[in-house]
Amino acid sequence: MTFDEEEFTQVFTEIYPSLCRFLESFLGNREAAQDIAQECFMRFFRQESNVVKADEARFWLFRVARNLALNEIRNSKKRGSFLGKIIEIFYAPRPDQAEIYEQDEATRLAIEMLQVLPEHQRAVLLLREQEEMSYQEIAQVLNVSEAKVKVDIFRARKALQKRVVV
Amino acid sequence: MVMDCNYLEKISLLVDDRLSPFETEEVKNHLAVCAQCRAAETNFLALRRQIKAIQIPRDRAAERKVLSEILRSGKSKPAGTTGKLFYLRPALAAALLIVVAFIGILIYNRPPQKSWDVARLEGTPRIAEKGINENGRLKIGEWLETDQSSRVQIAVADIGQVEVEPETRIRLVETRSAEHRLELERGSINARINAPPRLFFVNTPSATVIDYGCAYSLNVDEEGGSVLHVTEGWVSLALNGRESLVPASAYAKSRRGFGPGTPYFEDASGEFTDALTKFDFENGGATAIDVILAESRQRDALSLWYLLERATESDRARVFDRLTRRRGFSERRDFRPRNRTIFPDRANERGAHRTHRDANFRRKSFNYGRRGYERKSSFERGDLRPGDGRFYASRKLEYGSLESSSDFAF
Ligand SMILES: [Zn+2]
Repeated sequence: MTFDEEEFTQVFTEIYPSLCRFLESFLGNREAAQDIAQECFMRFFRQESNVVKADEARFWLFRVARNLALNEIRNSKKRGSFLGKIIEIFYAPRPDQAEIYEQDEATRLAIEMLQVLPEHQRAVLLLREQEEMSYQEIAQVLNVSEAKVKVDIFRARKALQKRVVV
Repeated sequence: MVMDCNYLEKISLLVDDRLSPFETEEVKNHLAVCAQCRAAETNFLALRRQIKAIQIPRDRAAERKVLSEILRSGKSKPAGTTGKLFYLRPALAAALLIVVAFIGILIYNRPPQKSWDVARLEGTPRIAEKGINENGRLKIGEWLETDQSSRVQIAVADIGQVEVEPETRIRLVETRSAEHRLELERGSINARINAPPRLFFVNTPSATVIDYGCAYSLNVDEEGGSVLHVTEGWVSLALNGRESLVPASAYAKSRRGFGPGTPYFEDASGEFTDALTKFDFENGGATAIDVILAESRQRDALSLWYLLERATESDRARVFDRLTRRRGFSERRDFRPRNRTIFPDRANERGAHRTHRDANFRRKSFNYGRRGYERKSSFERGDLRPGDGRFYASRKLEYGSLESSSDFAF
């Protein structure tokens, strides 16, 4: 199945905003999130759309997004402490942070809270609560068993129990 | 320390509507008497609300710009300009620029690789029609050719090597951090890649070989058919939505006009592999399935898992039976409420997402008819999991609502 421009535009319009939301929630960083979302669609358009079925596009995109986001996390860890410090200078919270990010308080708190979770639990919980995917769909996207999805969702919820504002 | 109530995990399932009516009843009765579980339910639902409250403001102008850039970049755009798009607010953009400059100077102080190193192993290999000495460079778009007495080794950026055997014609299609791609027109290569999945690709006339972190050899014959033999890790052979994931010690073939065939282990019997070839590429049908089932061993679950989808409806039941009647098969029985699909119907939810939300990603259901109780059975198959070779398959019978499902590994 090859996607023509019109079909691609439709997929993009439908999925791009939610992919950005997923990535920003997952990474806690808007720039990296948007960069990765673009990379996902770029790959999708340039070489993968001919091996992805139309009705699987959404799942393919989320799978690639999660993988690229994990790479991003690993790479940023690898950048080392010296560079890490240089980067920190630029990323340290500043008074104008709120304006740069246009993030409301509820969003900021929720994203901050999610960063406490291990990456696999964070991805599973977001796909469940934000994307409303079923356990089986999540298992397919993340390439794990449904049993693991079930356990990870439970562990994620339990881990955040004390941080949730009831 | 307060002990966790045994029901806590079920509260999580309750919140996701994953319990049978019977269990729901049971858990609700428990909730009436257990404050800890009541608190957990409230808490899990509050967490859901907090996550749903996450709102990322949309910048539609920027979205349109991203879209048009991708469309403009085109499918066949030559590599080199990767078309990475940024749209940043000026203040942050400036800050990032400085960071990038620092990183660039300190770490990535080397020219971007738009060509690969080629080392001659034997004979006189040629790049772009010119013979090379000990070393050469293969640029994007250039063909590398070996005659019957020459061999070379190519460095795949910094993620691995490809050995090119005699009488081979191969081209570098793309190289950038997110994708490295060769085109093998004919001949043989041996690849060893040490990288995350889906970074290294080889196009052949009948399929695309996608690396999952592995070592493999690949041969393309005069007709454009490929034979993939994986020696380490996992590799996928894909074309037009049809994909065969191949683990170590296994083979998969592809032929023009058919795409990827069924993977099989290298120690499978000759009768077994011949029958697979007949089934995949020569319309062998039920006769081929007879031989495949008779010859299959426990390990050949790998091949049977593919046949579960690729066989015709009337053959699926016996493929499933063969797949599940073996050691290591575990059965799990789930009672499900009648008339309820596994995927809740979300058709009314948001019209725009309907196609994708209802898509039942890679969940294949098959029906076949039979007399008696099992008037209708449906089979489901989950993905193969690269790494440990586990997968999920289940059979659902429509009398009552009993489902047996299994995790297999080979
Ligand atoms: Zn309880």
